[in-house]
Amino acid sequence: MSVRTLQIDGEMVTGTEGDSIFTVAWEHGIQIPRLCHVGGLSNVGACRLCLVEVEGQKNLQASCLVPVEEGMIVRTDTPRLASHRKLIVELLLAERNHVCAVCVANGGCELQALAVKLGIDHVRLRYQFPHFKEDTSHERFGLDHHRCILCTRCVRVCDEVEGAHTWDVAGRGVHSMIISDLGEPWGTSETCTGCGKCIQVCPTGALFEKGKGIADMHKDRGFLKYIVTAREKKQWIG
Amino acid sequence: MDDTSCMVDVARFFMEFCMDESCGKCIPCRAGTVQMHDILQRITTGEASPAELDMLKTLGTLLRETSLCGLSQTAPNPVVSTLKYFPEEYEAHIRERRCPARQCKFAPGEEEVPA
Repeated sequence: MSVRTLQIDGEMVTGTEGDSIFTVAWEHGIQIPRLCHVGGLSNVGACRLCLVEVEGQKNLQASCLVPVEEGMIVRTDTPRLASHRKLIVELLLAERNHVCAVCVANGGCELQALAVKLGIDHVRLRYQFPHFKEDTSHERFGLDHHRCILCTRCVRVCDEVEGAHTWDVAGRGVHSMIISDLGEPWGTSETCTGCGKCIQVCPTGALFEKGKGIADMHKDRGFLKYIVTAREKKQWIG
Repeated sequence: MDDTSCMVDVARFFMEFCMDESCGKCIPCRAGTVQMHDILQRITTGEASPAELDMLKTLGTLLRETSLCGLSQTAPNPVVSTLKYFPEEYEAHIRERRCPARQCKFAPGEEEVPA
């Protein structure tokens, strides 16, 4: 494993070969915003919030997907990036029905926290107010599409960590939605093991535990690091 | 396409195509094309404000610079081109509620609504 030295926001940092700019930045206290990335799962580069400017590159780069290179000069917080990030979060807020006041994840929501961090006090776009059906057929969990931002964390954790691949994305464009199995109710899914990992990785209140009141749903992603580290070190073998 | 084609409506048509074709993976494309189409639609019916025209330009830049693939990186092109060569058509729709090509049907304005 060789070391790569690069500059992020004027600070000289070092990372291991193969690490993404995102990982190296966070290790050095530079918190690049994100909604689709979660440590321990594969990266899709879909939320476009972790975009950074790399000197010599014409286009903005998704830092979760670009490996660090020797001598790279990266900027993570230029006025252009800040205005793009703000508008992307506004697009998300206007896309579905994110009503914090009646949400189980109020106070523990990554979308809400990011909106606060980016200083979004109002949305300049027209709300689309789509209609979806909630899926509360599972005995312990529920799914509210109105709060879903289609980050696909649930899809990835179910496939890569639990190995069940219950979740998937159906439809395309604005009609995309998360489905269990082949669009059957979650409660009658034959593949779902009821492990609840999807609930914990979901950044918003789209996936929640039943019986939780408003602002009652606190998510804990500690298990993910534990499982991934144990697998890498083969702690459960022999 | 000739002088009977409304440039705003042409831009709206191409944006509708991109909105339908969007796969939905990245946010700027999935939600951005919807918002751009919404604004263009409202310009053609005379309901958009001058501030929304600025937002249309801002969204165009966002889509071009942040989208994941070529579909949405190029989706704002018809809007950018028509804004560059026919800005007066946009202005006529928004400020005068008038379509120079006489293609657009305007929603009833406040003064036109019967009492």
